[in-house]
Parts: sequence; C-alpha cells; structure tokens
Amino acid sequence: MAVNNELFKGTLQTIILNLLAEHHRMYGYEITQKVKAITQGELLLKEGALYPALHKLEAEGLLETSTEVVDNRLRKYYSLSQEGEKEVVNKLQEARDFIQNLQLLLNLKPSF
Amino acid sequence: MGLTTAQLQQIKQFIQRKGFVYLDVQLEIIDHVATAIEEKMEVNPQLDFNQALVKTHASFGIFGFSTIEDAISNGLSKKYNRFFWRTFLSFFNYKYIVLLFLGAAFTYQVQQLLVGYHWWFAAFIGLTIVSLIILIAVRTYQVKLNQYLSFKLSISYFLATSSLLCFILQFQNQVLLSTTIFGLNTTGACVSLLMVLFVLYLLSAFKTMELGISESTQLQKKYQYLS
Repeated sequence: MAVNNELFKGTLQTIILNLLAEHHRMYGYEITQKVKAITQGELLLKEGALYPALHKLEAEGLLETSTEVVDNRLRKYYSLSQEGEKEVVNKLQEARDFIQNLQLLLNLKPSF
Repeated sequence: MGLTTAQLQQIKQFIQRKGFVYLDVQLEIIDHVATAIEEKMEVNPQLDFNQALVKTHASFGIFGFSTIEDAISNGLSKKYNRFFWRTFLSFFNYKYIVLLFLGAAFTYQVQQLLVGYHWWFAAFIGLTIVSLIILIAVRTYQVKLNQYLSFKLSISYFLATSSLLCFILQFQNQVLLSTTIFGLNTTGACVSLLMVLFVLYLLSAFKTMELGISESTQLQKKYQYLS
C-alpha cells in the first residue's frame, strides 16, 4: 500500500536529518534510494520533494555540502552541520510526540 | 556500470537543451540523472542509454528539472540573505559600536561644515566613485563566473545601492531648514546615520559577493580538473 504524500511531506525534513545522522554524508539520489529500500518501496521520495527540502535545510544552516569528483562527474554530498546535529534530536522528539498523540487520537495500537 | 565521458557529455547537452545553463545547477542534475541511468541499465541490461535517459527525465514529472533549479535558486537566495543580514547586524556588535558612532559623528561634522557648499554633491560624487569601484570589481568577476548561479545571486545586493543613495540624498534640501534639538540639526543627524547605514550595507553586500566568488571559484577549479 503506497503512503499518502501529504502525510509524508510534514516529516520529510526529519527523515532527511535522521538519515544523515545515521549515514554521515549522502548525495541526492542515494537518499531517494535509501528511503525506498528501508520502506521496501512503500514510500517513494520524489526529486520534486527531496531537493527543495535539502536546499531549505542547507539554507537554514542545518546541512553542509561538499563536492567531489566521482566517476568523471561532480557529486554533491550533504551532511549535518553542528546546528543540524542538535536539531535532529529535537525533530525526532517532535516526531515521536506527534506519533504518540496520533495513536491516541485515532485509537491506534502500536504494532511494536 | 559507470557511464562513459561521451555519455556524461550527452546528459550535459540534454540538460542544456532544456534551458539549464548554470554549472552549479547542472552539477546536481547531471549526477542525479547519471546515477539513475546507471542503475536502470544495471537492472535491465537490454535498456540502451538513450532510453534510460528519457525514462529518467520522465521520472522528474511534468516540471522536469526545473524543480531542482528552483530548489537550488531558492536555497541559495535564502543562504545569501541569511549571510548578508548576519554580516550587516554584526556591525552593531559592541566591538564596532564606538566606530559606528564616530563614523556618524564625523559624517555629521563634515556635512555641517559643507552645508552651504553643496555637501550633498560631494557626498554623491564620493559614493558614486565607491559604487563605480565595486561595479568594476563585479564586472571583472562576472566575465569569469557568469555561468554560476551562486555568483549571480551573491551580487544581487548591489542592485539596490543607487535607489538607497537617491533615497538618502532626497533629504539634502531639508538639512538647512531643519529644526535643532540641543544644537543638533535633526535632519542632518538622520542623514548622517543613514549614510553610515548605507556604508554598512555596501560592506555587507561586498562580503556576500566574496562568499559567492569563493564558492563559485572552488567549483570552477573542480570543473577545470575534470576537463
């Protein structure tokens, strides 16, 4: 069952920050594939949603970038800045609180 | 399976034909498209390069690559805006506040000495010379870095300089007629303060341009290494 994109959008920044916290640095395409692999294809992170979120996080100073030559082309890597490392903790806590409240509101039982 | 240099060149030309000319925008699109093509051709070895390229482009949806360009452009604008205002506000730090006060006092004194001798004309000429020097510096780099969106956006703060200068100098007629409080010509003091703020604006714009030049030059060196 594919997940509704509207539900996905609100947590996109948290997902990106958490992925970068776990993998140190990643490039755009790698992030889309990682989301697809972790969710076994349930969530598809499209370029149209990924890049605006990445560049917004970079503009806010939460991400840093570096460019390297890979396979005869330039590749831009994203990683967490010091500010981003602090923010990821807050964002994850916000997401946990939100999920807890959602479970209460919709009478859902956690599956774990 | 890695793509050949000719295939990467083909992707670059494809992107250029779609109207994406800035090298810092192309960089991110080329790598994304090339990686997606490599993966598609690995999963389905019968798929040729051109088919994989068309398929990858279609996966970007109706807006195509413009989503990436818009994201980069918006992100860079926000980044430089943040840098510009952070630099501007840093001048109000306790380290510089005495200098700012002295600058405003000096401008006020010069203005009061020259008030009967078209002081505003001297101020206009002085600030125009400064603006011309900046314009020459911008033009010099523009020749080298015109293909970089980061450079183009980082110099955008200079666009407002002439409007700001005209706004300040429109008060020149009122300095002579202004009321005084404790011997201080109020309009003259306001104009002096605005002139100091204008100089701070110019300095912040210059520092923002320096950041844009540094980022674009670093990228340019990597492109030169590739070619």
